[in-house]
Amino acid sequence: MGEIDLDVGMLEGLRELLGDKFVELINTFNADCGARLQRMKGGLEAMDFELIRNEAHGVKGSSRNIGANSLASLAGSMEEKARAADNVDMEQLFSAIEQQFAAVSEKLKGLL
Amino acid sequence: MANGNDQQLTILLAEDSAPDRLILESIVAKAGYNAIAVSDGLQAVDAFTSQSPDIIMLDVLMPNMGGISAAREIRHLAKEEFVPIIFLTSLSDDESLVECIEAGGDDFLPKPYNPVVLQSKIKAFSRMREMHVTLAQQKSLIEVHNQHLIQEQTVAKQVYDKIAHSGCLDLDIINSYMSPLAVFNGDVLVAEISPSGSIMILLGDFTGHGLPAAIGSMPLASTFYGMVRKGFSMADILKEINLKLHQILPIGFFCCATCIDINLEKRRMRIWNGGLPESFLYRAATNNYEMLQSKNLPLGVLSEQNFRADSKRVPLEMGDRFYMWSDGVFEARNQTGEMFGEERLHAIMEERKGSAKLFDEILGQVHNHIGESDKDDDISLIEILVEEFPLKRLDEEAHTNTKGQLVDWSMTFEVSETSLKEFDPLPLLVNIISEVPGLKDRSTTLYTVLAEMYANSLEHGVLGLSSKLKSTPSGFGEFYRLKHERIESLESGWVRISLTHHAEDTGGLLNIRFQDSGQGFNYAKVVNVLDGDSNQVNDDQGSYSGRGFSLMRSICERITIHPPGNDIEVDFRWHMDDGHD
Repeated sequence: MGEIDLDVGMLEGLRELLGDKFVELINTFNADCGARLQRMKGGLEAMDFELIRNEAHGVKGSSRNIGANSLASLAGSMEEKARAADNVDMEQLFSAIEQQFAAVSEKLKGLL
Repeated sequence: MANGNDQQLTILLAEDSAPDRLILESIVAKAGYNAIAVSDGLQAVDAFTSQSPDIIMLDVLMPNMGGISAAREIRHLAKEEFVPIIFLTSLSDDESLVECIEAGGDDFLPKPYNPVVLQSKIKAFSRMREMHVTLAQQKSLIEVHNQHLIQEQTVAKQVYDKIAHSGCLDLDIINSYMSPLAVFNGDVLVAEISPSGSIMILLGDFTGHGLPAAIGSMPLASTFYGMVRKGFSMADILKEINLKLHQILPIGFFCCATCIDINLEKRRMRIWNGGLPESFLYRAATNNYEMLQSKNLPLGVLSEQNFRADSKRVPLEMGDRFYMWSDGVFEARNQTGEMFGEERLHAIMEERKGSAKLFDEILGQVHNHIGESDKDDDISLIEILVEEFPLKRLDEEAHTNTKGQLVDWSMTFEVSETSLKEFDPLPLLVNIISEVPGLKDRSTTLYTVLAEMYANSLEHGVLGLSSKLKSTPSGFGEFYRLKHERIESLESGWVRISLTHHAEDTGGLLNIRFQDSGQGFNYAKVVNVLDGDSNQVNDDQGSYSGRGFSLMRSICERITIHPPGNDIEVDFRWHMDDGHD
């Protein structure tokens, strides 16, 4: 599970940049990442490393952009594993990502 | 934040993650640019085609078509146009960054997106794109200019070749070499056979290089050919070329030249040299060279009044050989920049003295010296063999058939009382007569004849003055006073001048006839003078001056006086070669 590392300063910057669209950003992030995790789960079941890698890459990038650094780092580990076709502890890593995402998502909603 | 120029920039953003796309779009829009956001590579390529963005940002991993393939496709579609492509990926990412660059990427932008970094990249690439556009415009402008220039040079070369190579350089007794570069480096070589059978050759070397140097060769060549074919003397041709070049060339530009007039029949040559290296005349009899040095200033330097066209007459013997060249021969440089040099040239001349292969030997050695570095190659070299050579004369063509030239013609010119008072018809008549090339050289003589005849017709015929008056100094004064008085009060009178010219094989016959409105005179006395019986004809009032008649008799072949003495006719016969040697 670990700490929820969310860069609040960055999020404030985004709020300033996006203005009214900040709400849309949070909702889009939650929806997009949620969908990516769903697809990643399917990839895990089918052992489709390419799919896992692409989705993990997407989660990593979006998380970084929004200041969710711990989530980005977990997704980065998953991307690495998928690239190396290393399924050892992939399930556990996925669980950690899911939990981290849930926490980040909650916290983001709290900002609205 | 954005300046006026940036505002028009359209940025294409291809990013499959919706939140990232939203952030990117917001940064770009807030900076004042027009953002087009798409979510995969295929859409990016479509948007590129339909909306022509100025800068493109591509995520690497996208569904349907990834950023790398999209970049390749866009580069292919953009052809020469420079559209900056920035890959949206961090340098720490493990995608092949090399692949991104090879696909046509210009830069990378890492996540998280930093508005300041992103805007500065857009600014930098926008400037680069502007420079590229300017460069491309200038390049195409240069290409157009260059094409134009090449086209112009081609046309100029064609015109030049038509003018410069229409002569007789292909005669078997002339060996000439002119490197292709020499033409546009200001060397000119023209040769033509004159109606009298002389071979005239002019080798010129204009100061400077390139077009400014080459341009002067056009008037030179056209003047040369025009005048040689009409039978003008070398002196007249050189005078005319000098005058033309003096008028058209800027100060400091001139043409070093050697001009020769070789008459094989008469075994003689005339040479004029202004500023070119000395020429070599090989003497077969003594197996030695005679050096013909420059004594004059180049063509185009001196004004008409100061120019000296005096040429040197050199007798020739069969077997002699004449050599001339421009200084390009000894200025030819090898790869290390060393010149061929005058010494080396003179050494070959000495070594191969009298050899039929000397010409080829010189050329061969110069080219060996130059080697591969033939950028300095502007060599002009001429050899003329003095041999029995059947020259196809241009006489008939040039003399009797050439269009635009007076050959067989006649004219009548009447000056009536009003014109007699003020108008001097002599310059006009001399001008017309000078249109016959052979007569131009004799215009001074003809002027004397015309002036004498006109004075006789006017003074003794129309005005009825007695030449007796002129026998004493005081009478001269009286004569001119009376002349003035009678002209002023002249109410009617005329002088009619008829000129008839017929071409002959080696010259022509000019008939000059003066008629006037006067009373005539006792011409029997004059006939005596003409027959050589007496020189005294001025004992009658209104008679002609005997002195004038003796002068005309020495110039003209036939003098006829028609009764009652107001109608005088003379025949002036001329030959091509008169006065030329």
